[in-house]
Amino acid sequence: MLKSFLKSIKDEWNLMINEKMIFIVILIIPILINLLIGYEFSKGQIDHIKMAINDQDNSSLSRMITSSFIDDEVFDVEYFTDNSDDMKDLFKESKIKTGLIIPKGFKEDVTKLKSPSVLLLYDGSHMPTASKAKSKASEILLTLKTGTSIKMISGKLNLTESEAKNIAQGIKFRQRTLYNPTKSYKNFLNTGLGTAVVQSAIALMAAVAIRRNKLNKKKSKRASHLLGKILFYGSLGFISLILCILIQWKVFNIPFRGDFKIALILSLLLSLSVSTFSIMVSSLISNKMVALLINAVIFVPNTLMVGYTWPVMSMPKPYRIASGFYPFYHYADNLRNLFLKGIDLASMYGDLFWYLKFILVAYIIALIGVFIRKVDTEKEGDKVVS
Amino acid sequence: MFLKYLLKDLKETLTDIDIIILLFIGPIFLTLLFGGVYVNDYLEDIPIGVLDYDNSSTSRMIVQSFDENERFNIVKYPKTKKELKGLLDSKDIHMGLVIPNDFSKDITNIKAPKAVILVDGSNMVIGNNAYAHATNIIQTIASGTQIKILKAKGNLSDRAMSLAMPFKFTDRLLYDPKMTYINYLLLGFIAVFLQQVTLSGVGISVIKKGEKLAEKKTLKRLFSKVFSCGFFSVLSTFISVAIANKIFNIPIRGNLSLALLMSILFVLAISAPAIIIASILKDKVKYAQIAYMLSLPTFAGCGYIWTIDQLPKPLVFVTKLLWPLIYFARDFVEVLFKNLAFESVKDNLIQMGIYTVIWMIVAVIIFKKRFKVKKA
Repeated sequence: MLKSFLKSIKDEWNLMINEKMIFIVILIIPILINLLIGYEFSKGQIDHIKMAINDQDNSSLSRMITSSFIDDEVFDVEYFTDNSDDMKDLFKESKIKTGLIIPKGFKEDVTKLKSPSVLLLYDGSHMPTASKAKSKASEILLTLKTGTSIKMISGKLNLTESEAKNIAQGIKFRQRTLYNPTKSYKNFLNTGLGTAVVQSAIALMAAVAIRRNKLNKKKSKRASHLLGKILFYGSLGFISLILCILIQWKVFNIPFRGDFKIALILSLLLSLSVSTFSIMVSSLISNKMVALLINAVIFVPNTLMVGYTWPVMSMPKPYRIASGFYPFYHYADNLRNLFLKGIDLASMYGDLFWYLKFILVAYIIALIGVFIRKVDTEKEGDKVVS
Repeated sequence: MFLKYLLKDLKETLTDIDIIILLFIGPIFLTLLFGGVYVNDYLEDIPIGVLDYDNSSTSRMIVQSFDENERFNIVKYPKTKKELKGLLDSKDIHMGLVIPNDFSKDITNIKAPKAVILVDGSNMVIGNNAYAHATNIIQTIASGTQIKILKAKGNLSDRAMSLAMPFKFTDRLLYDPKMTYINYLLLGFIAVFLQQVTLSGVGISVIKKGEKLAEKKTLKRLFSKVFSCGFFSVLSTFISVAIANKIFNIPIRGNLSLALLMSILFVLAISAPAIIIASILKDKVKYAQIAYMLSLPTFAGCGYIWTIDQLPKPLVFVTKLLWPLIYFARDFVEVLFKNLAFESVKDNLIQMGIYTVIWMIVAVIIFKKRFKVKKA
């Protein structure tokens, strides 16, 4: 048993040393991808959004609004158009993402208490940019509106500025964004994307592990043979996961507020789960390309399917049910919460227990797969050795 | 001669189950699968918690405004701030509303009392949605309160309204007024599916027939392979676009001929790295393993999640040098979705053409070197 187990690990080790593919796919590519996404989102937020302004009023108030946008680093006011048609063309050519139109007689209408409107246009086709532009523009205009309101209340009702301020604000609402106060994309995306790549790598390499390594004629030795493969890919994946987590934490400074030991436990269980499942697929399907395709379809799009970005609660019911069966579902949110919230192990007990059940079930099915397989039906030149 | 090869390759591709499933069924299946994820336009019933220390008619009115809003679902009423924070930590709620003691009294005394909204920002999609909709509710309540105070000070309704609202701002979202995830993402995914299936199809075909292709008339035969794979992958891409439009209601406003031209040019461009990687690996399993690993990093770096102007310049430079998706994905979507004109995508198409010529020369050289059969 032990001999077969060690031989199974040795076979994969030799393959890794000789052909380098396992090493490249599970370790090198994920590290490179983590460096890539870390660098890509390193500034955290979208800024310098290209903008055009059409100021038809050209009054002190309209110029104050214009300067507020020019001074804000979220916007790059690159165009001042003469009319709204020019602005439309800029949107059509994708040269701007935001536009502001201040109508003629704006200041006069404000003074006459006519509540005029300014118009904000956004290119809605790129959601993150539109969303950022919209929230920032609203913030700027709300501040200006409140300031103007205070001045007017104070002037028209002969009140002190502080009284006018209290009236203008009515109720103060303080909004605080916890855990990711800067709304950084880096904090939001990188840990999930970076580790999803590792689990894809484990799945793609382990999907063809069984046939490539020859099955023992003695069925009793196949259980330890399987175990060797699972442990090999699980361990390698675990190392890769930890390296990727460290890259995001230490190189790209994503705050890690939790206990690192929890990240170790969670990553080990994810890695073993994916490894066991992939070995199971490999034990059941002899066509390597089909096995690869199955694992690719299951694991590659995981960040979408498990609600890492678009939450599961907003998906249709079949998706909600299916998401719970993905190992990554029990990992991605927990890891992000470990980074950003510093959650404790107790809050993950359910997920950790799920992993243990998943590994056990997948291992049993994999065992059935290798027990029913006839050694001489192997394709693609795999030979049988004892 | 080329046509003869092309017809033969089209027939071969059509009868090769591995390849045809990948090229033809792949994008359609994945479009249906991914489209389903985003089929609901909005987040609804975001679980929130309310800590109402005041328990006055005003505070209850505020709580009711949140309760009646379809975006929120009040699931918890914690008794302390610590308990509220614990609920946010454990993901039981994604937002908390805290109304302090004497809230109503302070409004009456014009002291502008402060209510606090705590948003869990760890998932930005949920956090931003909760934040935006809470802001809408709050602004409505705050303006209403302000007008009430001004009226109490003896102002007429209209005057009170104008003092509270010296100017308004109206938002208009062009192209996607509802700003939905499905409109933002699905067409971009289809562009990546075209990349992935062409990459896999061309690479695997080249590996399967490598030595034969290298024997004679290599260029013609390689291009024949590329076009035969491209025919099916582009066809399935456009069926996927039709699915996005008809089933998932994504508006297609653009010029389909331009989108088709871009797709054909992209198929040629992506075939160059496909041939290079296939020639180096010469093993279809290894090739597939590498090809599947490329979807995420190439999508992440192509200017889709963040537009090119937001990416670090050295990264854009290196990506443009190495991988053609950056010339294609965003423009392809904007042509379809926004009706972007040829003039606006021309520069990227020219750059992609230059990329294709240079890398295709490299690809053919490497291919010939790796697959040429040595004469005995």
